[in-house]
Amino acid sequence: MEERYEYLLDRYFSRKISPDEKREMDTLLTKDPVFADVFGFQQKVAAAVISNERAQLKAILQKEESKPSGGSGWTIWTKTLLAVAAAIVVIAVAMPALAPYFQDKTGAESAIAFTRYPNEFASAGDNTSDNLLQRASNAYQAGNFPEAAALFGQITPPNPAYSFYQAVSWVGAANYASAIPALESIANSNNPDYSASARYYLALSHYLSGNVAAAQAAAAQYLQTTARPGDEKMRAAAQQMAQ
Amino acid sequence: MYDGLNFTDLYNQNKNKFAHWAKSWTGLSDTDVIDVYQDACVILWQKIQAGNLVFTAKPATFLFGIGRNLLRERLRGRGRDPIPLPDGLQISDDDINEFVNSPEEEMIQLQRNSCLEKLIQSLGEGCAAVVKLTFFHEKNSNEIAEIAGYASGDVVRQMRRRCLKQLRELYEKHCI
Repeated sequence: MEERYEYLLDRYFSRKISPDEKREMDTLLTKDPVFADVFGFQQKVAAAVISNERAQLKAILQKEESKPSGGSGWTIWTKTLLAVAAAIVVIAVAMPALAPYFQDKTGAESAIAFTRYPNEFASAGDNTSDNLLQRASNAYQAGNFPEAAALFGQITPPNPAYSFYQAVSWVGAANYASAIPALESIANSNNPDYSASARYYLALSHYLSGNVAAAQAAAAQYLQTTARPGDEKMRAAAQQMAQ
Repeated sequence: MYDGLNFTDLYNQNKNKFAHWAKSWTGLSDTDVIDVYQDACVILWQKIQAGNLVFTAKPATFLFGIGRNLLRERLRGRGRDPIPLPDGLQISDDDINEFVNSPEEEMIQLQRNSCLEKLIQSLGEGCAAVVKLTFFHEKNSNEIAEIAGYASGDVVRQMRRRCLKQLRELYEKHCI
């Protein structure tokens, strides 16, 4: 009976419940106090999760709203930016000794940006259009991340590598709401190949979606993992996010 | 249909049009209208991410539909008639009710939600991710297994059972 409860609730909360199953559920809710109790608790959990996630999304919009807008303000901001840019140019020209400082500083700041994880499937499959892995890899390589995410998600049987590349593709597509829970799960799975990198992309997703505190925490956890050859740029970006 | 759509772009692309339209018939302040618009964007974004929307129109159409219902709720008591949502948009009462509780209900719910959320995080990242994918992203066990790299839907079901059991014990101890 417990399995049937779980099946119905799985269908209900994923909004895939059929009319017959909904009728069965309604009957259980009126006649089976145990089921009603389980359902009631899960509704409370759902309300808490949805409320928290929506609050995070709304915070992103409130932050967006506080940014300077167009119209007359645009002119002031443009003038300010032009003045700052002009000042930098003057200083860099007049004081060559300071130029390396600006170059280094600029390079360091731009380190926090999405960079594609190396494509391990570049030569996968038989290169026919029917080969999902090949198509996913091609989309990923071409920077078509929404399509790559969708295709990696369709490959059966799924495995941790495909899940990881799907999650990274979501980050590339700026789909952080999908990327974050998937990366959390991979990061927590202790997979020797992908857990550490998932933690980095998790930090990046939080950072790029405006959740600086979560980015700091995830970046700090990533930096505690063992360094590997080739991950220097990721570590440099994580250092900045962890600050 | 909405692949590549960015959350803040969705917000910025339709904001001025929505604000102008909403103010023209509600008489609400700029602050109220933007607040409702943000709620509408959040609801629509969740639906897009969950993949459960029936895509029959542009995002703006859905946004105005959701916003119209939220505005209607804000204006409740002024004698205006409900306005139907556009075809293909399925927004449950729960989606709307979250924003229209009485102050007392809201406070109780906020406290409970906050307590539960802390407990969910305390269960560990694996449990938190499964709970979030289930209840926010509206994914079933098999989909979660695929997204999160678990061997099967059965594994996810077992894990969720264990997580929710533990959560319930903690909830009864700390949140009631």
